[in-house]
Order: sequence, then C-alpha cells, then structure tokens
Amino acid sequence: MAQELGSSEGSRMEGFSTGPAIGDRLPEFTLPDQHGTPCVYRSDGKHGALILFRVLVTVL
Amino acid sequence: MELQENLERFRENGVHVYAISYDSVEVLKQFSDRFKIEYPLLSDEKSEVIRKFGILNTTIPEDNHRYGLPFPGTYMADAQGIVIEKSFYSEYSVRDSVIRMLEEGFQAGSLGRGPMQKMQAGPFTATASLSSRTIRPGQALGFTLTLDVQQGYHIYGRPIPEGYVPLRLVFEDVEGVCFGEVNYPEATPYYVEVLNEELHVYTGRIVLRASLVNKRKEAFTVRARLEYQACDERECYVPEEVPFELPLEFLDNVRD
Repeated sequence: MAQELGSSEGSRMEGFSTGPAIGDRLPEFTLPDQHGTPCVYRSDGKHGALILFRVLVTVL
Repeated sequence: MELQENLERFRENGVHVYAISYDSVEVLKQFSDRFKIEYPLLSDEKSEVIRKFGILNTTIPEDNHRYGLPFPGTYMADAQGIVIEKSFYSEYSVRDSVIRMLEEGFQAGSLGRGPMQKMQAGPFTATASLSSRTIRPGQALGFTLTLDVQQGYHIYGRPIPEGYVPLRLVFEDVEGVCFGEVNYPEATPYYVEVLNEELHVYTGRIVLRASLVNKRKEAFTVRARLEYQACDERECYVPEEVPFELPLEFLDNVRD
C-alpha cells in the first residue's frame, strides 16, 4: 500500500513537503496549457478548483 | 481517463480542473489529442509553480535528469482559494478516485456532506461539521465549527486577563489520529463599561477551523468540547462547555 504523505497539520510530513495545508490559501499561478495558451488560476469567489500535480501527464 | 469522463460533473458543481506536470507543452498536446482531454494540462517545465507550492521532490539529486519533479498530489480548493482537502502519496501511480474527490472534497453527488451536529448553547447556535462522512488511512479532513452569537451578547477571545475563560475548542485524543491546531479568528477589542476594562471578544458569526489526519484502519468518532464564557451588557455568565460528537465511517484506500 502506498504511504499517503498528505497532511493538514502542516506543510510537511515525514520529511516530504506537501505544500499548503487545509485551510491555507493556494498561490495564484499562470502556466501554458497543452495548446501553449497561458492559463491563470486565481480564486474568483465563484468556482472551486481541483489542482492535480503529476510527475508525468501519463499517470493522470 | 476517469477525470475526463467526469469533467461535466465538476463543471456542474462549479469546479475548475487543472492538471500540472513537468512535461513540455508538446508532450501535453500529444496526450491531450490522443485521449481527447478538454481540461487544461499545464506545463511547468521549469518547476516554478511546483516550487511556489513547495512540493518540489527534494529527494532527487540536482544533477539527476528527473530533478524538478513534484511530489504528486491533489488539492481541492473552495471559491476563495482555500484548501478544503488534499492528498499526497509516496507512490506516483496512486491517486484519489475522481468520484471520491468530487463527492467528498466538493460535497457533490449522492454522498452529501459529512456529519454535522447543530445545537443551541447559551446565547449562540453552534454547528460542527466534518468535510467528509468517510475516512481512509492517511486521509486529511477538515473540521468546521460555526457559532452564531445572538445580538447583545459577546464571547471572550484572546488575549484575555486571568480569571476569564476564552473561547477554546479541545479535541478528545483518538489513537492514530492527529488533530491540527485550531484556527481562531481574531477577537475584537471591546470596552466593558461595568468593568472599566478593554477585553477581546467575539460577536456575530465565529468560524473555527481545524483539521485531522487519520492513520487508523477503522471507524472512529471525532469528539470535541467547546469552552466559552458569554456576557451581555450587564453581566458575565459562568463558563460553560459544549460537547460535540461526529462519527466517521471507515473506507480502505482505493488504488485506481
């Protein structure tokens, strides 16, 4: 079974960084999408967000 | 391609989907075309956003060609950009079920919200809830306690002189469960005429948040007590406690 590293008690668990904790605000960012078009993430007060970080797109 | 298959459900629930990887735009385009992906696949070849989130895999040496990869994980954020759920796994091939993320993270679909307890206590209504009705090993959940204080009353916060009881949420220990610190809103300075003293108090709506991380492999109940002392314009009442109990169902990890 894979060890889950996610932690809401802080940004680190067992030496692995898992970034913003539950209750934290996510940073805004802009990155190119698969068409090369800049895509912006910022909270708009209307939409939730599901943000997945993957090592390779093939394991989506 | 579970995510693409359920994309419409995310849209219906007002959730935007972003997938970020270390791949180039060209690789993402090939993948997107092949599997007809409609949501944004974002290229972070320089690991700028990966670093911004603080999830660069630092176990990979800098001279290794794989340096720059993230720890694979998932964030679910509300409309204000606040993380409501997240998960990270040590194995790259493991991730949360999309349906589970949708139903438990965003409270969509048939499962509904997590357990909730509402009660009238003294001069306020208290509503305690968990972000999911189920819990898995390694999963983190959010706990929210909302107090709606009646007009004309206030609840003591911090800082507070000795002799007064500030608002405090205390979780009962559960073996294998780690409770995070309680996030209290800032209390407002308030001049109490009869005491000729300025104290910090809460009025109106108060929202306390905390989180828990589970390592148990069986169901359990989250028990907490709220300690408080309420006052009105004329008098302060004796300190009180309110207990909460929120049961969680156990689910074993899902591996897609």
